Amino acid sequence: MIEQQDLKLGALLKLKRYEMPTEAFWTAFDADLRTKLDLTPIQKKCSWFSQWVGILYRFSPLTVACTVMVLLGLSFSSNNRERYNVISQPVSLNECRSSVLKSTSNALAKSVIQKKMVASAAPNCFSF
Amino acid sequence: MDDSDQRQEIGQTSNEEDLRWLSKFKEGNRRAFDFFVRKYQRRLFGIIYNMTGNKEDTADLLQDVFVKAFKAMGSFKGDSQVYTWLYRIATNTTLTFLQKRKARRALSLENFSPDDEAVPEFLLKDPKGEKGDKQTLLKELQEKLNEALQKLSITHRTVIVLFEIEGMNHAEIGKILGCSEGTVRSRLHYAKEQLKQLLKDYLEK
Repeated sequence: MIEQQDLKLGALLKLKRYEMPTEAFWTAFDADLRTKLDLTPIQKKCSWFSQWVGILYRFSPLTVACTVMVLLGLSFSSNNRERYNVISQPVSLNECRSSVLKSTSNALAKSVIQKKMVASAAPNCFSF
Repeated sequence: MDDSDQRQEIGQTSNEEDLRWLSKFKEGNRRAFDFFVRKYQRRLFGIIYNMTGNKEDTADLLQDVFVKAFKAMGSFKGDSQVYTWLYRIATNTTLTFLQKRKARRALSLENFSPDDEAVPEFLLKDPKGEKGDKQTLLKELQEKLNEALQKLSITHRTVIVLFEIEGMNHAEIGKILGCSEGTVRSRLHYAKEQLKQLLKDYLEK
């Protein structure tokens, strides 16, 4: 019974295929559409670069903010890298002592440092 | 030809020919688009008309659909068949329109004259089992069918139009509507149940 109803329903709905406008409708429709299409530009396929430019242009405030953040981040990290590269060079202990000798005016401190410099025969290196 | 054969045939509607005209269009021949208008305008009209139930809205929407397709055809990558792509534009345009549109009176077409062999026998019998006037019965049926379709939700109506009236299969409908075959089957089941209730006077003949 249910299957028969399904078939009948299908047959009724198929009748809707015959519901079509007249030929006069299509003539007018085609003329209207032709006018519209003649005035319509076609979208060209964009290159990846112009797509990016389009996206940047569309979201300019957000994109500018993000770009600045990224650039700042890159510059900060490269500065730090340079500084660490300099600091991580091995420094001789005696070089440190001689630079302290030059900067100090205390005679007692000078004599202690000089003694230590003489005493340290082996080149003792360390790094920060 | 049985119903399943017909559904398959609709799915394989000479995509090679479509692709040939598509490449002509992409080469800059704007007139190549006329091929698609001629080939698909009646079927797209059917879909939109049965979804909206209003002939005037249908004419405007069909123009919009072809203008959209014309603009975008140059960047169509061919990752689906041309007719699937066109049907997707048509259904999406109509669905967007229906979601915004407030209730509007259905406006049926005047021209409804099915072939004699298409009219089922049971339809021509009145409740006493005698044959009634064919034209009167068909006109009344047309109004009832349109009323019943308009009582369905937009999603259920779309699925029933594509499956029962346009003769598409579940997979094709899924591609067009961007949902799974299971969803299509489920919507179709509920739509049919509702229609059986709404058209029971005809179905119990």
